[in-house]
Amino acid sequence: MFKKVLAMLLAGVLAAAALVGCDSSGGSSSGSGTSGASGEWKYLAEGQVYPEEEVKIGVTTYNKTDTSFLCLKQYCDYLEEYLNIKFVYSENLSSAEDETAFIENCAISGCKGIIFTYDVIGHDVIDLCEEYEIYCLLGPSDVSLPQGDVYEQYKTNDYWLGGLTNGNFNYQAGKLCAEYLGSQGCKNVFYAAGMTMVEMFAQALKGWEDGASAYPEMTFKVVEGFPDMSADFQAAQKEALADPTCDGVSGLANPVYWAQPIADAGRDDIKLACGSGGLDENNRAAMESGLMDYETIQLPEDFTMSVVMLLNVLDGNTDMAKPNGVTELIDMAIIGVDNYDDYMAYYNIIQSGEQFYDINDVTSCIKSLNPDASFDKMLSIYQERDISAIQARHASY
Amino acid sequence: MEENTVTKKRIDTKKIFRYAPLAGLVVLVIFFAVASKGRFLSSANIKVLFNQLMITALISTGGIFAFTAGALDMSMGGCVCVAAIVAAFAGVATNSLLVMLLVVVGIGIGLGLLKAFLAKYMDVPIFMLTIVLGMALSALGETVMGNLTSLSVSDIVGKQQNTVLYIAILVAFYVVAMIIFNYSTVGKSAKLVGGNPRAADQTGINANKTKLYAFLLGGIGIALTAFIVLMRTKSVNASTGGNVGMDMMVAIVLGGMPLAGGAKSRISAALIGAGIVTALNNGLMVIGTDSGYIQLIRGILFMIVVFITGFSYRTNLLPR
Amino acid sequence: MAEKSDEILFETKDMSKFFGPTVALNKVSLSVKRGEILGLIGENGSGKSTISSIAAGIQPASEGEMFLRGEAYSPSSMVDGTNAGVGMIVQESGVVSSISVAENIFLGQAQTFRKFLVVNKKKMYEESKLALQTIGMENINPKTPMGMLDMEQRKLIEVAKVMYHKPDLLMVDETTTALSQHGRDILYKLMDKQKAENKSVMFISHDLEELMEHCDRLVVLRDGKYIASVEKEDFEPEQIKQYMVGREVSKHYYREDFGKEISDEVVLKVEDLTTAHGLLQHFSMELHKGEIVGIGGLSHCGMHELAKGIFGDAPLLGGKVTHVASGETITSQIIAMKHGLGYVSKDRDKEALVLTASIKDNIVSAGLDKLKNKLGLIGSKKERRYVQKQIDSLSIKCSDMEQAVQYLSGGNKQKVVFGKWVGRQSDILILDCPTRGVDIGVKQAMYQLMEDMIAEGKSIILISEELSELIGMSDRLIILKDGKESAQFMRSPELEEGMIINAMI
Repeated sequence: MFKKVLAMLLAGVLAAAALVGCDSSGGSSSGSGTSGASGEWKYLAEGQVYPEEEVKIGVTTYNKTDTSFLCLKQYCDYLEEYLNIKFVYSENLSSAEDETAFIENCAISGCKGIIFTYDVIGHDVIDLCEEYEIYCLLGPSDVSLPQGDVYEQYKTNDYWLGGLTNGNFNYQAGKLCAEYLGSQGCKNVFYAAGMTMVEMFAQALKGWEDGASAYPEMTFKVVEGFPDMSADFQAAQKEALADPTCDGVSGLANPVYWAQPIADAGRDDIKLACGSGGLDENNRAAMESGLMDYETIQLPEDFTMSVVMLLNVLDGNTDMAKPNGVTELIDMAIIGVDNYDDYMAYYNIIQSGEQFYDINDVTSCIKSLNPDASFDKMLSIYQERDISAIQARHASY
Repeated sequence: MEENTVTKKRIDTKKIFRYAPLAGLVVLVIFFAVASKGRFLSSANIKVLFNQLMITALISTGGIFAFTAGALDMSMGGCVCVAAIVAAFAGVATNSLLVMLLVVVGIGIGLGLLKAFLAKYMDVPIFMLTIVLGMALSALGETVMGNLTSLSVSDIVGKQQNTVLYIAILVAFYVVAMIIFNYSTVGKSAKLVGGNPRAADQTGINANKTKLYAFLLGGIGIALTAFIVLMRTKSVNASTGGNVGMDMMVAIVLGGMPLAGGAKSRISAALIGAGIVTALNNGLMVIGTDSGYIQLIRGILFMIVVFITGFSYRTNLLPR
Repeated sequence: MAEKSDEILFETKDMSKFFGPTVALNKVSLSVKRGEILGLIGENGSGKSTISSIAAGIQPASEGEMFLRGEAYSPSSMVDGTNAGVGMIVQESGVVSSISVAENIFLGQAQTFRKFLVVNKKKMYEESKLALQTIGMENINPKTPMGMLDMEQRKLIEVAKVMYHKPDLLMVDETTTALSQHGRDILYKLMDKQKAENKSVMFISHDLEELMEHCDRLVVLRDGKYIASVEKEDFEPEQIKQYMVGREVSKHYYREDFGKEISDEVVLKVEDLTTAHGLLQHFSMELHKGEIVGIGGLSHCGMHELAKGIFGDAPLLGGKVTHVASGETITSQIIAMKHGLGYVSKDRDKEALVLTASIKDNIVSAGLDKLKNKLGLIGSKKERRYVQKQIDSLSIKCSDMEQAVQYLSGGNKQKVVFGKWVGRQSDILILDCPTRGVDIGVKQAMYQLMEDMIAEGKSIILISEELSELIGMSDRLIILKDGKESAQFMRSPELEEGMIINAMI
């Protein structure tokens, strides 16, 4: 009896050890850090290992199975192949305690910085990072952003490196959608405002209203909710779609939700502008079928500007993160696509395994590898949205 | 008549089970210390370990009384959520740490009383009652948050992690709880009620009164936990306290507590179990394990422990 | 009747069994011959139940060998044992309340009636009827849910269950204590039938008279060791008692005083008591100081409910119980205990003890209010002293006071229950079947204890199904019938069972 107990305990410990061993060293996603087999990267010599010592970077996430996170991870794997960095992902964080514990554990296990694609702590997270001497960087999603007075308080904090924020995205999405529909001559638009008590929807609505102000002939009706959400909304939606003078529909919702109501009302002609931001299969299909006429999109790889900034700072080149001595908050560039070909141009880059920002792009922004690098040049790379410009840039290396 | 005696020397397996959780904790600590080349036991990480230990240890120490008395209280997460959120608002409104502390205590005790009341007057098993209560409280917390994603209290509690204070609170609470558990009529009654409610009743032990005290102690646990959550994360949001309930159950099981309660309950399960969970979470990260594996290992360990505790129950029912 | 052959049906050789540090059986070698009814007797902890449970396959021996019909025998489960021809009727309940009689009889054997994964209930019921017939219980409908039968019927269903498999070796472990005379008769007939069919019986009981009457041979165990084997012609009760206890047993068993004057002082007044389930109807009595009032009757006469009703442990439909000295009515256990009442329940394991808790915890459980200090805390030294006093004065056999009560023998468990009340110096004790499942040495000690108590001026209500005990110990004996008092007898050397039985029926 006692022997059985002992055997089981031993087995458990051994199993744990085995599982640990099998990941911490080898594995496909760890940074071996050698430059590409072809050795054709402009700023990275063949066999050169950069950074010299492996840099661990923590990444927080809300949901590890979320498509946007998976997209992000794909790109992270790509970076790990060529640079001597390792990304440490959190488990599905849901509470401030989890997040705090993750930050602490990252610090102890030697991470140099953390990219927050998800955060619940708010601006106090910067203090926490400072306490543990780990750099705090922002990621692409809705991170609670220090603004106004709070920003003034933290902008000189050494450990807050800023990065690309998503902060303005929703505002921009609303604005661009309004501008598109206005430019298309719509006179009567149905706008699904989502839950305006939540920040992102409030922002989008404001953007919409600002954009629409340039088109005074365009009237619009703002209704709370999503398609597919409440009975009230569905009734309003049905009424609007049945009205033949209604010629435009917009909101942050994914086109998938609009498909059924629009088809049911037989309104294929209606113009749909979505601020949904995604470059995935659903959106593509909607664009292709003509259901969706306009979409504002983000590029999921944008966040990696944070990585670049971190590496520069670790090299001692803080001006690449804080050119003016204070934390910069840069809005991620957003682009609106109104035709399928353009859409596919972006879509294909993601699908084909090419990158928007290849290793050349990345290393050209690392000052220790490219003395000509500058903050502004880095910005221009990470905010370039024109496909041909991107392709030209890649060819130029 | 021949004297044909047999020697009576036998290993007492019961003693082994008693010390197994502590042994497990020691093994884990040694393992991580070695595997991380000492980083696990560096002074920086010890501080981190205590920071992370706090919440689970406090809620487990308070909550274990109800479990001992046979009341499976599943509402702890919701309770901490509401207590922390309301206290945060109160604290920010008055800009006073003291107010925050008083509110948190008031709510904790109030919730304890509520649970005791419901347990006495509603003919529904406490298990179900508390699951529903927990959900209701979480929803309440969300409502109180309104459209704020998070509320910061760092102005009131300060920016740093005050590990020494946390330890002091935990030690004080644990010592008091231990004295009550082992030496007071409340603790003894809880074990008896959990072990055989009918016999306890017949011996003049009032089950409802015992559960009341148990829930009140749980309420203090909730109050202290909520307070530490505020001090530690310096903010609240709708998901505050979310994992607390589950973490507590995993902790006390790993610490050797029988979930059905009763005479074999031990308060050390709260502390040791919290220690094991904390060491696991932190240690696995420190030695570089991928996060997916961390969950897997935790799950396997949990199953092993449940299996082993299952063992001892079966062998105890044979006739003599 | 078949000739008593010398062929050995079942045999153990140097069998030992350990439970942790406790030695339950110590190199025991015994045998059961074909056509023999072997009685197994011993005090608590002697190992007799252990041997039978090993033979039945419930648990394995730690050392030694067993042989059945001359071949090596080591069953790994009770089903194994049953299939090999060894059947055991257990001491505590072996039936499941929530299923029907038929399902209980065939517990674990449903596959005999299973065809294409469906249990042929009709066949099962038919077979159960047959099984019930063998024990003379044809009047019970096999579809009846077990919970609806009373304890005696349930026990007999268990007997049917075992007999259905026609065991070569039938083991009866303390079963008779739960049965009325009718039930016992059924059992004795079965045992004779086994003998007639050249099969065997191992009969384990505390009741020496019963064993001497029905067995061909008696084996005595003590402290896990084999002591002696006595043939029927050599049955001598004093000698056997001596084997059991290991020393000379004084003849003094029950009380030997007569004509004691009972005090006029009434300590407890029971008026017009009717219990919630109606088993007790408008019952009244007065308990005097220093008196033992015995209460007897048939199984459902209401005497057990009376005990609970007096102690405040059961709801009442009418009437009241008054603690005379304080004038307070007893409406709950707490109030009862406050006024020095104590209650030893008939259902020891379920109601009087927390089995998983230690001896210490159990004894202290009744004394929490007496032991605690102003803060509600109980010092561990004080606690240990309190408990040790009871362990010593009641001679509770245990490895130490932290031992869980579930590991003790029946008699020692009973002592722990006593210890609860004696420890808090209860002066009005309500004892319900206190010597059930307890053997001679312990019984004697308990009777002595009761005598000592009344000598100190304490009062006892003794409820029992054992007539000789009631006659031997009571100052007054009240017989209940159908919930009401049917007769009252005063203590007297001429009092005989016959007279009392008439009042009960």
